[in-house]
Amino acid sequence: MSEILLGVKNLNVSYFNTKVVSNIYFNIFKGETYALVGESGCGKSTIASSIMRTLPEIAHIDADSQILYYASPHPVDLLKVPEYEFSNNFRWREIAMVPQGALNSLNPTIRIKDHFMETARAHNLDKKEALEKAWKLLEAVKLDPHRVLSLYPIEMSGGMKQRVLIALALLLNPKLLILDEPTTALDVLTQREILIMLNELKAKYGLTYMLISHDIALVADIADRVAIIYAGRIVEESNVENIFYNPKHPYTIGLLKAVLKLGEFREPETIPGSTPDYRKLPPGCKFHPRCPFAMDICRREEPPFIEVEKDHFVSCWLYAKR
Amino acid sequence: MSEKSRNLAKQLKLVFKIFSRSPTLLFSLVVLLVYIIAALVVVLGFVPPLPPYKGGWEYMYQPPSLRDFPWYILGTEYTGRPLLLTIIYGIPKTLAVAFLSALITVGVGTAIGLIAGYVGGLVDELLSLAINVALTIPTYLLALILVVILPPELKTNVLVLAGVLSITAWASLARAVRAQTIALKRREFIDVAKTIGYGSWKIMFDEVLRFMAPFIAMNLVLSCVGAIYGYTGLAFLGLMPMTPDNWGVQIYMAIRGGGALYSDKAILALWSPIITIVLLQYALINIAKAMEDIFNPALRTYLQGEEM
Amino acid sequence: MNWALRKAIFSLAAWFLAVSISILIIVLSPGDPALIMLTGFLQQGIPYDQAVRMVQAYIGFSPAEPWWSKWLRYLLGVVTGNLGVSITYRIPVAQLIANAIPWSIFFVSYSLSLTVILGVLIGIALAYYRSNTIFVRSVTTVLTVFNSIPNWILAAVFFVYIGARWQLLPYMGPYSNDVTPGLNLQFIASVLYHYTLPTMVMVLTSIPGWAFGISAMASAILKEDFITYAKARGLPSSRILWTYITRNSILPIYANIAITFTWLLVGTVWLESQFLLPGLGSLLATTSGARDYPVMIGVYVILITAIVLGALFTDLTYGFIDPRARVGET
Ligand SMILES: Nc1ncnc2c1ncn2[C@@H]1O[C@H](COP(=O)(O)OP(=O)(O)OP(=O)(O)O)[C@@H](O)[C@H]1O
Ligand code: SF4
Ligand SMILES: [Mg+2]
Repeated sequence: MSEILLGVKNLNVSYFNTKVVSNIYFNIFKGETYALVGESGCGKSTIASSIMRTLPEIAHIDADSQILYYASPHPVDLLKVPEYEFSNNFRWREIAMVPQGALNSLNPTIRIKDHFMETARAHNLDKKEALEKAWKLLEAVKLDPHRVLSLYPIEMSGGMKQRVLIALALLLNPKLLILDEPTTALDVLTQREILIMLNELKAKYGLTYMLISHDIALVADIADRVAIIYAGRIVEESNVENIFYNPKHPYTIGLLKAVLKLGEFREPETIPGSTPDYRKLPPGCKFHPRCPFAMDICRREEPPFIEVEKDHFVSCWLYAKR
Repeated sequence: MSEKSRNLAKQLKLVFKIFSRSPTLLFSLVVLLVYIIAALVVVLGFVPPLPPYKGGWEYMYQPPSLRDFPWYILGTEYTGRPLLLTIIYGIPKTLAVAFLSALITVGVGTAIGLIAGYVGGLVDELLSLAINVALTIPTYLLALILVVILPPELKTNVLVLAGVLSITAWASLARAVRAQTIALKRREFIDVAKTIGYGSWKIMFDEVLRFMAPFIAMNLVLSCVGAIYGYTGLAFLGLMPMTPDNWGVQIYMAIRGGGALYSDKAILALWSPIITIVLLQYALINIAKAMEDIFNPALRTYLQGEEM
Repeated sequence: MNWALRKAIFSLAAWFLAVSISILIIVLSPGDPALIMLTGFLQQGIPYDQAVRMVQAYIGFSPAEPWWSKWLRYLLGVVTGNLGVSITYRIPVAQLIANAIPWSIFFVSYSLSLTVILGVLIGIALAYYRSNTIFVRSVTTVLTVFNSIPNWILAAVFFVYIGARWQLLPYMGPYSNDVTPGLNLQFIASVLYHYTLPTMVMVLTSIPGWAFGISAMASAILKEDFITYAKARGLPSSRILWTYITRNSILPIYANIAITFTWLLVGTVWLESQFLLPGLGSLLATTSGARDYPVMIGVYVILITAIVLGALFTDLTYGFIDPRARVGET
């Protein structure tokens, strides 16, 4: 098996006193694309912000949570390193991100060039070197550097902004790139182009991706392994083939039915019921109010995480040997 | 109908919530209430009439005394009359000027904004031009000139003063109402109301005004603040009739004639009208802020959400 | 540039309309200054014909004319720079105004820059330290109190106490008698020293509007995606505070500079006369007391001109500062 780059262990995050991310475990291997998939509000961005350490002040991470980064021989717990050390050694140098909300992530009052230069200065990168790098990266994301560098964000389309954000993320040669919904809010054609470009960049710069999306088609196209998240918990994790051709968890099945035609032609279904309210989560399996297979035990106890086949994990009582 | 009254109840509940949240606001409401009650008491004749003018140094700025309790507890002012009584006599007139001026400002501003925004076309062009021109003329500047050239008998007329103090003050409200009206016109509920068969003027006043009520109310209060500023401020320049019931005149006299510059003789005559004005302005500004909060959609949804 | 020209033409039209409508209101009002002046001269025993000619010489139009011809004649005078002759000073109004303008420009621009700078700083601090309730509450209360004090009252109180009674700061006149006016250091220092108290009044009473406005904007900006993303990139907090929060909070209310400018300009009427400073405001205040109509109307027209120019200036500079405005225009 290949080497681990990032290991998340027992991550628990709350806003005020509401826990929105619970007991998350996953590993990301070097060179792969690991996807987090789930409905809006299930906690995907919260996981990303925990890794980037950009959670708002009101957020709280439990003390026994760990995010291990395997850069040097010994893994480093990113949640424990002091802020200056994280800023100097990890932020943007090792791990960078393309934020959700591309349309609104750039400062409307400064030029694109200033965005590159300020990022470079924050990480003590030489000015000239930074400009050359920015130029190359903008070319790599298929923009005309000469023109784009002098533009203000408002003068660019959504697709252009997304490309700029990707180029900006690569400014310091990070190893891990977190892509938070990189194609939402873009038209279909642009989505394709971005996707192809992401694949090219990955090969060219030897990147590892952590992809956050609820766009199943995108995930099917570029992910190697997928984690399905429901109500802040991973309910199923496996490689992309298992997830798409052999889904086990009722939520995964529902999710796929909702967007894919699964061989035959029919109207996309939606999962009945509404997304959970974190302030009053049900006891037992959090999915049971919406689950067509819900049993007695599902209403009482949280299901364990079970390996149903090699490297295929499901958290559901249907697969538990009781 | 029940829909309407339920809406009203909701609105009132929200208002109550905002008011009960802040002690400053409660204080401001009490202050305003006291002024209004004082004005009513004067108008209904419950206070003694002002004694006649008494010239001569010995009557001016006398120290506090218990004579005719309580009217002399602040001593006398520059006309030899009891200071407390003259200040109280100033309340109804000041409030009348302020309120009338605010009514004119808000009435004209709302009407022009509504018509310009709703009718559109050439009417809008012309009214917008009028708004823009009025915006370049500061009210107090033109009011100052007018106050100087108006004949004295007009200057003491409350209605004339109110008109002068709102001469171009309506413009900024008109601009805001116009913008809001245009935005509302694009919303579908106006169309819905139209298809249900409401007359267009009915829609204009009903829907648009109801939606903007808190904003207009806030402007009403702020216009009062502005009118009080102008009414007392122009008097302080010595441009208004020198009647002792204008607090600006009292401050003017305390400094120019009362020797507040060199002694404490007129200290009460200086500070009493100042506190009277500032307290009133403070109360009005706090109330206007609360109305702004009612208008502020974010806070509104936040407070309404709490109910659920 | 085409866009700037359009703005300028629009301002010129607004100026012309504002001035002519004001003059119209003045000549139509029951207290037509020409008539009042005529009555005054007649009372002094001057024969009627001569009195009419004198009125014409001072204010530029005669009391016997119909209103529209008074209006046209005065407007013509304004456009050609002939604003009449002062009754009290017996010199051309234009000359009086020319002497007063530099002082007012200095006073207003000095107060304006301090107001904007301090107002922005306080507003940003209010938003940035919003979790510190004690700080926010106390600053807000102080600001609201200063918001409720009319500037002329604060001027009077400072004049009486900080000036006359306690003698802490100069409170009369623009500079001390022992300096020679001109471009020398003593003179400039003396002027700045003498304007400390008046400027304090101007600034204290106009800061609240700016502080509240900026703090509301900054609170909204703090929730924007680009702030989170800036933090994610590891930008230092000073950069985020100035280039991200402050810059983006000022731009939406940049136009308020023109409003504050107007407000301060009108404020000079009270403040310059209170502190015995030269300038347009005190000129208007003293000539109003003396009913020197030619000067009053002349100063009025000049003040309107300054207001229009101020608005035009903010409009034009805004176009250069905020990329969004330019994109929107083309
Ligand atoms: N600053 C915050 N304060 C309080 N609650 C928050 C905050 N940010 C997020 N949440 C809550 O945490 C939960 C997870 O939010 P998160 O943004 O991580 O979801 P997401 O999976 O990224 O959703 P989306 O697909 O919409 O981006 C949501 O229910 C959200 O309401
Ligand atoms: S544990 Fe029970 S309720 Fe939950 S998904 Fe499995 S079957 Fe459904
Ligand atoms: Mg998200």
